[in-house]
Amino acid sequence: MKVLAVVLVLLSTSAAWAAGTSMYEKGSFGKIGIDLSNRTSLQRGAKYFVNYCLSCHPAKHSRYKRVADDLGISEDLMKNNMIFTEQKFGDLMTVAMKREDAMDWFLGIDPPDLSTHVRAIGPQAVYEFLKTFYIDETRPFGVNNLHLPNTAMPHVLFNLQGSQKAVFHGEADENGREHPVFDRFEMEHPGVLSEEEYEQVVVDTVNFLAYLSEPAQLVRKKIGIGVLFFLAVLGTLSYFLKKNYWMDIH
Amino acid sequence: MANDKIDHGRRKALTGGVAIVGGVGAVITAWPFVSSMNPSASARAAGAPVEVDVSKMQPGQQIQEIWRRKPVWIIRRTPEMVESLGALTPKLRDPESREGQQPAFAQNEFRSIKKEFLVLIGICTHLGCAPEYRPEPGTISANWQGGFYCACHGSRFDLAGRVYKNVPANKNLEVPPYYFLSDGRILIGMTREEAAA
Amino acid sequence: MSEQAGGLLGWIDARFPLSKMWRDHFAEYYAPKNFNFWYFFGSLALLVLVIQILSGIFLTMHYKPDAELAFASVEHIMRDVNWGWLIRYMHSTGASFFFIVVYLHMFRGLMYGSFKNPRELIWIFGMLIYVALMAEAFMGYLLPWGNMSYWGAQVIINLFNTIPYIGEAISEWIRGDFVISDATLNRFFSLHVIAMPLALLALVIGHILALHEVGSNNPDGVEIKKTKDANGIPVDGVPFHPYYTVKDIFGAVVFLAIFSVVVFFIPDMYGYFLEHANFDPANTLNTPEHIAPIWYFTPFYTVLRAIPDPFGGFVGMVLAIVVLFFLPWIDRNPIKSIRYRSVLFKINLLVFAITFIILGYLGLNAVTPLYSQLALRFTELYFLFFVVLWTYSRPHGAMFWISSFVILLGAVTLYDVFMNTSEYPELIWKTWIIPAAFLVVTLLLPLFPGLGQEKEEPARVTS
Repeated sequence: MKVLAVVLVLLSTSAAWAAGTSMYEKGSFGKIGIDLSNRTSLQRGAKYFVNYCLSCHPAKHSRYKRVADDLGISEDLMKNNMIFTEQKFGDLMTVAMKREDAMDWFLGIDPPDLSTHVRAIGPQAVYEFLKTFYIDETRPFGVNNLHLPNTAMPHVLFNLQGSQKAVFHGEADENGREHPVFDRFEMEHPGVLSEEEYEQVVVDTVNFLAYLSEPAQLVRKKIGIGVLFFLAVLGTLSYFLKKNYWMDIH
Repeated sequence: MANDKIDHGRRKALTGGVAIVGGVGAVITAWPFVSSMNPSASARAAGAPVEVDVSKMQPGQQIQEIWRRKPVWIIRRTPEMVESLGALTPKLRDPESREGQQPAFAQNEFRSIKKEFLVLIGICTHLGCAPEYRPEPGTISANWQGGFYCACHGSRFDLAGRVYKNVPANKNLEVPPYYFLSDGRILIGMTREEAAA
Repeated sequence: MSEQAGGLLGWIDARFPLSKMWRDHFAEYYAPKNFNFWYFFGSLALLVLVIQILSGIFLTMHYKPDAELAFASVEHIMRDVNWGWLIRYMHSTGASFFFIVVYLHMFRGLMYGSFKNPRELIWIFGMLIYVALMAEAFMGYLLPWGNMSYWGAQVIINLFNTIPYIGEAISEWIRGDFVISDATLNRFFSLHVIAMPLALLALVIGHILALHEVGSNNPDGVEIKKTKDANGIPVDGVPFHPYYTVKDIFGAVVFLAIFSVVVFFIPDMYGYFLEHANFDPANTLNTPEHIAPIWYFTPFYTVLRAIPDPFGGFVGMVLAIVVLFFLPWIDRNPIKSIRYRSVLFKINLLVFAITFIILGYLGLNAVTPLYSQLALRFTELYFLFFVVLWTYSRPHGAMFWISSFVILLGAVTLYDVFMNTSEYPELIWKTWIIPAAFLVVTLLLPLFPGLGQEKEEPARVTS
């Protein structure tokens, strides 16, 4: 039941759109590979995070010092290049913006705290979200998002990625109602980065956010291997001890 | 139940092995729990070194800062105050600061880096009350030379925080680690050596 | 009184029965020598209890039971407290492992008839522990004050609303407010850290004292006290210490290895042990997409959802737990161990185990027309298990089996005719086959000799 391929402009009032009925295939923009052992990626991600996200999204359970220590960023570098407010090195990564102001600017939505929210939705969701902004003049910030339709967030990385428009075609569902289905993106105004470079920015940022959602990840698996090795030794010994005693019983 | 074929030596060795390895494991397991009671990252952040601007202090003035939730006093001593310190030696319990109540740089008559600036933790070494800064001679008693007086139990300290004889407190007031970032700026909470490390 | 030690031990023994307790419960407590794999889970449950109490004590040092602070204090533990992440993961993983171990321990009891005379009180103590554990886990789950904590507790406490007349008053009394709030969090904290643990400890002591009074059952279901040697020691018994202490140490190490794999490598267990929605703070205006209780409650949650009437669902859920208390008086067959019971008993028990798992699976998933019919059918199987178990207590004639079959299948069918509200009639009749087939197998096959045949119990343990 394919109807003509049309470029549709998203109507913010359309319930089907707002509900985010699977307009595109999840995962069709690639899978994010989280690599917490890639320190330079994490460091770049931290830089993008403080530059592009932290002005509105807090990471209020995380401390600058912890990030610096974990990612091998020096105290001076952190203080001079990554802390833009009056905050101290040991402080939590909060934002100066008042909650009420944020609610005003972002259509009554409080930008979620990125130190925990990423763990709730998973890194793949953030990855797809950052890659699927497209031009939509009906939205307050002139952009909409495939992953999170009618998002209240502006495309903060648009000067890096550029502005792309989305091409949809109509498809009828089982009740005969027509739904727009995503076809492809077309770049309108290229950004300062190439597609590959932008991809890397997104990967680094999501990689960092994945770290930030649970900093203990950096050590816990290493410790776990040690613990399992220890238990293997103890288990072997206790097995032979048990066997030795049970020779008495017949 | 007894069996002649049982290798008792092996049994003893295995029992010992399990006991020792298990014991080591128990001790290692205890460590995270013990360590979790040490100051957390938030407590350490709250206890981070504090910068103080002392360039605008008047001679004789006292200001108070908070470091690790403790009161820290900075006193800009007048030349007369500094001079009076030497004469008090016989009345003091530890005039040469032999007890470890200060970093090495303050183990001198003035108990400070610069004679002019005294930096002290404002907690009485007797039972932890907050002493008062009483610089005016003759106020606490007729022969009072100026210093710190703890009203709780009457402990007295001179203008270098040194304790007098025959008072309840038996140690000098503590000097925190600090150093001069520049002439008019002090960093409390760290010595210059620690900052360089 | 056998020996009188000198020195410090002698001094203590004159004042406190230390050596006597050691002898009664370890060195001279004779346990059957034929314990198998299933007998590890008692001592493992005790180990998990210790892990939970220890990690809980240290979490309490850093946690703040305040609606404004609770979520952040958990993140504070995860990030700022030295090793806080390890202690928290031990506690969250421990909660799930507690239920894994307890469910296996209970299933052991079902297999070997460990609840039967003279061990009814051990079973009752055990059931009380299980109920206390569910309360403990439920209240602990609110404490992180995540969005799933909040809405999960909201839904479960609202169950009490369905009680006629007094329901709302009860749920308000439990919450101390009109919705889940700071007051609820504060009292759940109190109950979670002190009241329920005290109750649990007391019940565990009762469970063990009752066990040591009558002695342990075993995979053969034989009473080892019936065959004693000249010294009055059971021939088939071995002193708990050292034989079962060394065996349980080995079991504990294997358990800890599995436990550590979860703690260190998959602490959220793909969202089953730590639900992902709970990493967002409680939001009184925004429900998680799909509210599911944590996995160990889901079998009973499915029973609740299977019955369309709200109060009926609540009663069904409570009954599903209460019926377990009466097991010693439902299964009156004198043969204890599954080894000597009929093929049909084995089928009945196996179906029950599968039913419990399917009920748990259904409770984790959103309701669809098919799932809601399956929930009903497996709820029916859950309860029919106990009825069939009762019929297997002693031999019956053909009339008994046929009439039982007709009555029970009639009851199931009548429910479908008058009460089943599904909009898809073909689903009703297709799934009707499930209880029907179960009843054919369990109630009509006894008519054929052989399948209902029980074996002779040995006089002594076999291995």
